[in-house]
Amino acid sequence: MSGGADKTPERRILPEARIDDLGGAILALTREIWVLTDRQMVLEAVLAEEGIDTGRIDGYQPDEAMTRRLDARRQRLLDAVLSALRAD
Amino acid sequence: MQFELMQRGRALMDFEVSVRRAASTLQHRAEAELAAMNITARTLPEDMEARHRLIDERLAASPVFQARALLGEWCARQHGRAAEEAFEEIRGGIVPELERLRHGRTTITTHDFTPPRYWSETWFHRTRGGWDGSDYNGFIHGELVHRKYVSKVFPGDIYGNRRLILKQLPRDDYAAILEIGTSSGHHTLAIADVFPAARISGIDPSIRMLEQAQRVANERGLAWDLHTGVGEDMPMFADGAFDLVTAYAIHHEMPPSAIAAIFAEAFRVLKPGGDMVMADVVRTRDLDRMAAWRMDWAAKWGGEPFWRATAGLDMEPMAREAGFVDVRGFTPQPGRDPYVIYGRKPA
Repeated sequence: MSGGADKTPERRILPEARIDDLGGAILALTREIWVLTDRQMVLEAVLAEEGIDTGRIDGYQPDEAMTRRLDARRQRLLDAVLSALRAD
Repeated sequence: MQFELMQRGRALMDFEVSVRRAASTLQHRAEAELAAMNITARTLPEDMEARHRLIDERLAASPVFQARALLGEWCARQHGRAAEEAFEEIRGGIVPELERLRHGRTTITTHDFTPPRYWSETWFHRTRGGWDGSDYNGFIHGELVHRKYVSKVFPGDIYGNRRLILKQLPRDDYAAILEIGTSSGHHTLAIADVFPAARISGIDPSIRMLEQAQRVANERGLAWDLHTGVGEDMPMFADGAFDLVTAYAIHHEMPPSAIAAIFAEAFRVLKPGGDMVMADVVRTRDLDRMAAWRMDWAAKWGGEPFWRATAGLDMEPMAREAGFVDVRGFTPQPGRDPYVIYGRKPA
């Protein structure tokens, strides 16, 4: 890594009074991660039972329709976090 | 350059894009909150620092503005790291191809030069380690950050804009063209597309970025002559060596004194009658006070320490001071990037 530095000043965005909102946002994310983890484990188990190599997931390239579905789902996830931060 | 990210890397980059777009939506909502307080482009103070203070104070308790800042801060810090992680996932498969593309008709000549402090001491765009921060940073920046993040979150066609300014030049028969600030070759590629018969030279302080420009050129069978160095001091190029000197989006990464030196060097290496066209971010004076604050705020927290000083510059007198004539600065798309400065060396 070369020399130099990020010259942007440090800042505190959320006041201490909003620490509970931050906790809520983290829990909202944790819940979403768990739902997805659960689904992924179930999905891979089902695929394996059907004889499908789950290694194909790593190399999967979504088409336009799948990309739109992923975009919409990602936005839902972000919206959940923003809701916890009261910016919904 | 054709390649495919793995699932995790693709998802990481897509996430950064969504977060950045969400930040933009929140920005508009924050400005609507300001409007409801009668704080608008017309009522904001002239002084930029006073503008920041007023808005920070009035939106201090706004969850929307706080969330906008959080999301912006996240993207500023994380987009480069997400790209690094996405690259590491495909490194083993792609490095042989990246090395193969170093060989071809495009050459890189390295020179001893003292990197200017504005470049060596600043991690532009909060890129960890700076432009030369890792072995394949040129590919990471040029192909992952630029094509899978920047081009999706910036308004308009950032690649088309490069061709647009070149197509507006008064000639189409340039034989020798110099690009100052080649980076990973996006503008260089536009030059090659618009002037396919020209011999193209480029200069940039970052060897990692030039390596990526070299790959981009070699992949297309192009013969670019690339050099390490800076536009303020180009001893490798003789007086009158080029009939067009160009640059795209480099001025806001340096202090005004460096920009003046670049105009002077561009003038020196141009043939009599040669053209100069450079483009950078939209001028602060061409924006209303709210839009100017919005861009200044994003630059302040986005690793652009020279933005305010350079976006406020009137470059026309600087170009004339260097000797250019027929100088004109203009904004093809009012209120948006780029700002274009053109000048001609007297015949």
